[in-house]
Amino acid sequence: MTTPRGSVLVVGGGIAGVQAALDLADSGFYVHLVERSSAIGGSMSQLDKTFPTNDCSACILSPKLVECGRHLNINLLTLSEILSLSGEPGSFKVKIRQNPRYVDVEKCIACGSCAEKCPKKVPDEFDLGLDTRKAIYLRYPQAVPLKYAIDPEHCIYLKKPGRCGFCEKVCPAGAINFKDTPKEYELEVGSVILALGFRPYSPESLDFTGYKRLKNVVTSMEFERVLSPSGPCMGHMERPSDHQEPKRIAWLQCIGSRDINRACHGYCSSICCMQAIKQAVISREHSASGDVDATIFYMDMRTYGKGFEAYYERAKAEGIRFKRARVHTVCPATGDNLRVRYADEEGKIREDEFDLVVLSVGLETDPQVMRLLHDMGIEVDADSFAETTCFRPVETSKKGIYVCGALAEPKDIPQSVVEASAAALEAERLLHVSRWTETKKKEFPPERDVHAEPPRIGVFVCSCGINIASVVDVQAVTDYAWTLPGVVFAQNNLFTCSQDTINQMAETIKKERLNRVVVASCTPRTHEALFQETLREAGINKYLFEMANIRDQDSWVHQHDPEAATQKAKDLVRMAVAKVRGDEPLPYNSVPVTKSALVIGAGIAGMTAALSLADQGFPVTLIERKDRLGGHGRKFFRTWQGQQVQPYLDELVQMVEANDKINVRVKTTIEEVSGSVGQFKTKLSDGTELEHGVAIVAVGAESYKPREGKWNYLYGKNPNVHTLLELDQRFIEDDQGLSGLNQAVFIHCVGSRVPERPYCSRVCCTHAIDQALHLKDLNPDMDIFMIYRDIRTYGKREHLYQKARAKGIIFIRYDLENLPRVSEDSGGLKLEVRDPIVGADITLHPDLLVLASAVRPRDDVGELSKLFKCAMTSEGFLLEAHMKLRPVDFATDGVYLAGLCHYPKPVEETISQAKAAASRAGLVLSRDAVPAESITAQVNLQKCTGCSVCTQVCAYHAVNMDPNTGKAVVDTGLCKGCGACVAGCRSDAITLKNIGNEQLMAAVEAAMEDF
Amino acid sequence: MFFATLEGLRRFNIPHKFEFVSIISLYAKWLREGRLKVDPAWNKDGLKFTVQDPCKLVRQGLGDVVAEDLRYVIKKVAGEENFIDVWPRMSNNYCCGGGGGSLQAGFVENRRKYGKLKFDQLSATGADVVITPCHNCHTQVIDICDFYGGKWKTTHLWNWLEKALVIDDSGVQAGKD
Repeated sequence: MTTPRGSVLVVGGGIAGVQAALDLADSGFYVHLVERSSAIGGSMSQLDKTFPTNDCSACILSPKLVECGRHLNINLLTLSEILSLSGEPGSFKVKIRQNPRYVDVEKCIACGSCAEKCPKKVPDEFDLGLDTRKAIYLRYPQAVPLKYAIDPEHCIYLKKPGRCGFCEKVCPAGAINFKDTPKEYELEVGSVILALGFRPYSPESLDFTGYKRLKNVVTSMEFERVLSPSGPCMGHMERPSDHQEPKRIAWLQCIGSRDINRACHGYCSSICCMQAIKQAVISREHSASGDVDATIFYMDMRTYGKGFEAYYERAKAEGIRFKRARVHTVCPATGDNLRVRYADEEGKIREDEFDLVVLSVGLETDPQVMRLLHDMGIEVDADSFAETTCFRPVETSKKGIYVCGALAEPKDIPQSVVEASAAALEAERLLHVSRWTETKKKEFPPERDVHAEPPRIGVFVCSCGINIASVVDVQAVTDYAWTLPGVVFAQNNLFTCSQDTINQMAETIKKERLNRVVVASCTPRTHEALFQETLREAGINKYLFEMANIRDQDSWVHQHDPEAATQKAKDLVRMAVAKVRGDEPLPYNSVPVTKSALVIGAGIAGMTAALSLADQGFPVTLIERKDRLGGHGRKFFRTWQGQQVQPYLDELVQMVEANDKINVRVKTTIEEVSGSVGQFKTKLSDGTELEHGVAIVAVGAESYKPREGKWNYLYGKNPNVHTLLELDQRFIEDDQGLSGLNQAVFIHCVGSRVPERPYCSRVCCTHAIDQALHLKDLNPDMDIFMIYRDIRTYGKREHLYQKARAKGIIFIRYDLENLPRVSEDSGGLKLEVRDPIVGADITLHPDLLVLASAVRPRDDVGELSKLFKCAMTSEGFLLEAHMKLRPVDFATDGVYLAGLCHYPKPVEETISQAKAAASRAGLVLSRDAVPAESITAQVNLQKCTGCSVCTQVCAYHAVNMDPNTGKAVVDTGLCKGCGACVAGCRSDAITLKNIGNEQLMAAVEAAMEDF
Repeated sequence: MFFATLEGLRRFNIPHKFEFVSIISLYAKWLREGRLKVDPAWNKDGLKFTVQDPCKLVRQGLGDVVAEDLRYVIKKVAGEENFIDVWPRMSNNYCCGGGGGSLQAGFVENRRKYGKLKFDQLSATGADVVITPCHNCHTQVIDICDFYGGKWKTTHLWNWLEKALVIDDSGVQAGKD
C-alpha cells in the first residue's frame, strides 16, 4: 500500500455513525459523514427515554450531534447516497449524490415561517405517520443541521412550477432555491465505516396483531413518538382513536423477532424487552393520574445487560405485570378498546381488555441498505445483517470497510457506541501513518479583554421543548432576568442547544457586547462545554459563563408545583447572574502527552487493546498479574459461532510477544498511580516507575464456584458436577469419556439473578446451549435437559436455541421458589425439578450435571479502581462514565475499560470493547498536548503558612512545597480543581479560580435576597 | 381429500404437474376478468354476511390468498358494505370445533363446548348469513347456531352467487365466451 489517505467515509448518521465520526475526527482524520435523510440523529433521535438510566434520548444525543455538525473535520453530507465505491484499503474512490434540499443552508435561519405558510400537509415520517408535517419541513426540533428541506415528492411548486411558492415569498432570509439540483461528489478516502442501522419491523402482515386495522394498536417505535415531548401528542400520552389517556396498556413482545413461522425472522432483536419495560415505567410517569395498568406479554424476559435486571426487578416491584404468554389475537372490544386472548401459565384461557396495545417490533435491515451492501460487495448473513465473525466483530467481508451498530446484528445503544469506536479504531490502525494529513485546525478569534469593562450580562432561558416550559413559566423567568443588575439582554429559546440558537447566541454576544453569559437550561453535565465554546467563538473567554440548572434540578423534580418551580427558576437565575458577575477570564491550560499506554491485564481484552495501540506506533506496557498471557480466555472452548478460542489465543499471544512496541511484564501488579491524563506515573510491583499518557483497565472477572450454600448442587462433592468452564476444559482436552454419557443436565442462573448477585451474567445461556449442542454432536443419543429461568440467547445467538430444540434438547423452566433439588442416589446423581408445563415433579438421573454459574467481579478490583479514581457499581463491576454514550471511558480522563471487569460479555463484545478503548485512548495519544483544567487552585503567598496540609490532601499530587519560599505551589497541569486543598487550608490561603469566596458568597447572598 | 392430497404432496415433496386451486379462487379470477358478472342489487334489504375460514382450506391449506379471494367474492355478491369480517380472521381464524372427525365421533357435548368460541365470534358480527365453504364447517356452524340459539343462516357460497348473477337479454350469462 502506498501512503494511505487520511480521511474516512462514514455512512449513516445515527448514533453509531456519529460516534465513529467523532472518534476519527478527534484523533487526526478527516471524515465525510453521509446521511440519507435531511438530518443526522438516526433512530435514537426518535426515542423518548433510554434504558436503563431513563435519560432523555434527545438530551444526551443532542450535544454529540451538535458537536458533529460544528466539527471542523467532519464534512456532513445530508440527503446523500452512495452511488459507487471502488479501490482498495487505504485508497477508495466513492461517488456520492447529494439530493437537492431546495433550501440554502447558509441562509436558512430555521425560523419556521416557510412551514407555517406551506399549504401541503403530508404524513411525518419522523413521527412514523402519527402526525403530519408540511412539504417544507425540519426533520425534528433538534435536527442537525437545523435547516429546513423541501420534500420534492409533495411540494406543489416543484410538481407544477408557477403554483404555490408561498415559502419563497415568506422566507425572510431568501433561503428558498427551487432551482437547486442534485450534486455529485467524488471523494477519495482511506477507509469506509458502515453504520446504516436498522428499520423497525412492520407488523402489517401479522394479522393477529390487528395493526393498521385497529386504531389503538401501535408499534413500539410509534409509542416512543407518542411519549416524546417533540412527538404528535407533545408528550401527553394519548391513544390514537380518541386522544384519551390510556389507562390499561399491553405490550406484546417478539413481534417480528424469534418468529420463523410468520415473520421469517428467527433472530432475537435484543432490545425490545428492555424497551417495553422502559415504556411501561415511563407511561406511568407520563400519566396524569399515574395509575396506568401496564402488562407485558413475553416469552423470555431478556434483561441481560448492565443494570437491566435491576430495572426489571424494580418494574415488577412497581406493579408492572409480566405475563409469560404468546397472545393469540388482538380483537376489538367496546369503545375502541382491545380484547387480548391468551393462555396463562396454568394453561387456562384468559381474556383481558386494554385501552392500547403496543407491539414490541423487532429490528431488520432496510431493503435499500441490502441493495447498497450488495453493490459494494459486502457479504450478508441469512438474517440480512452484515456478516462479521466473533474474532473480527467490526470487519466486513471487504478489507478496509468496517461495520458498527445494528447493521451487523440487533443491539442497543451502548453496544453500538462501543462498536462505533471499535470500527474507528480499525480505520485508525489502517491509516495511522496519514494522521493529521487532511485535517483542518480550529482557530478561535482573539479574545476581547473584558477586565476593564463593567459587567454586561446576557441571560438565555431555555424551554427545552416542553421539558422546562410545561412546568416553569419561562417567559416570566426571562422578564425577571431583565430586572437583575448587570443584565443587558435576556431571551427565551425553544431549544437553546439547537444549532441556530447557538449561532444566534454568538451573534448576540458580539452585537450586545456581552462579557458575561448565563444559560438557564438543562444541566452543565451535558451542555456546559457546548455553550462555553460558543463564547469562545464569539470572542470572549469561555469561563465568563454560568449555567442555571432549571430542568434537572427544577422542572423535572417539581412537576406538580409550577408556581414554586417558576420561583425557584428565578432564584437560580438570580444566583447565576450574581456569580457570573464576579467571574474572571481564565487561561487555557494544556498538558503535554506522554505518548505511551499502560494496559492492565493480559487477557483477550488487554492484549487486543495493546495490539490496537501498538499497531498505530504507540508504545504500550502490558502488565499481567499471573505468569502467562491469556487470562480468562484460556478456559474457553469455542465461540457461539463455533470458532475455537485456544488457537486464536495462541496467535494473539504470539503477536503480542512479537510486537516490539509492546513491553510485556508478567507477574506484575500496580502499587501506586499518580498524575492525570497525558502524564500518569505508575509504580509497578517490580519497583519500576512508568510514565504513560493513558491507561486501559482490562483486569477481567472470575467464574463463580458454588462450593457451598443454596446454589451448591453438589458442586465439589460429586465429580460429575461441573461448571461451564470445567466442561469447556474437557472439550479442549478432547475428553473421550464425554461421548459415552447417557444423560446431561444443565442448571442455568447458578448464582446469577439471585438476591446476593442480582445481575444476569449475560453469557451463560448461549454458552450452555452451545455446550449442549457439542455434547449432542459427540453423542446424538445423549438426553440433554436444560433447567432454566429465561433463555437469553439474544441477537443471532437465538439460532442456537432453535437448533437445540430441533435436536431434541429439553428445556424445563424453574423459578427461585421451585429450585431444582440435586442429591446422590446409589452412587449416581439425582435431580428433581417441577416442570411447569407438565405440572408435575420430574426426576432425572444425569451422568453429567453442568452448572451455568455466574461471572463475578474480582475481589481486588476495588483497590485498582481507587488507584485510578474510578467508580464501581454496587455489584463490584467497574463503572463507565455514562452507561449509554460513554461505555468505555471512565469519568477519570485518560483511563478506559474493556472486557469482563465492565460486565459479563462474550468474546466478540470483549474484542469490540478493547478496540473501542484503544480508539478512545488514541484521542489522547494522537495529540502532543491535551487541554487541562483551567479552574485550578491558587495560593495567596501572604496568607500561606507553609503547614503543608494541602500537599497531603491533594489526590492528584498537584500541590507541593516550594523549598525556597517554604510555601505551597500548585502544578496547574495536574490540578483538577477538586477543591480539597481549599477546604483543607487553615489559613484561607488557597482559592479556586472563579469558585472562590467572592463568587460563591455573591451567589449565596443572591439566594437569600428574597428572605 | 383436497387438503390430504395437497399436504401429502407438500410433505413428501412429490413431484406433480398440476396445481391445487379452490373453486373460490376461480370465482374470484373470473369476476376480476369480467368473465363472470354479478350485481349485488338483489340485496336491497341489506342482508349482512360474514365468513368462516375453514382450517383445511385456509390456515393449513392455501393460506391468506384464498381467504382474500373468498372475501372478494362475497363482497362482489352481497355488496361491499354488507360484509362484516370476523376477529380473528383468515389464517388466524378459530377452528369451527367440528373438524378432525369429531362431527361423526360422538362426544357431542365436548364438540359444542369447543364450538362455543366460534359461536360467540360469529354472533359478535351480527351477520344474517355465515358463508362456510367447507362441508364440515357447514354442519358444525349450523349445529352450534341451533344449539346456542343463533339467528343467522349458514350457507355455502354458490347459493348467493347464483342470486347475484347478471343474465343478459339472450338469457346467457353476460361476459361468457
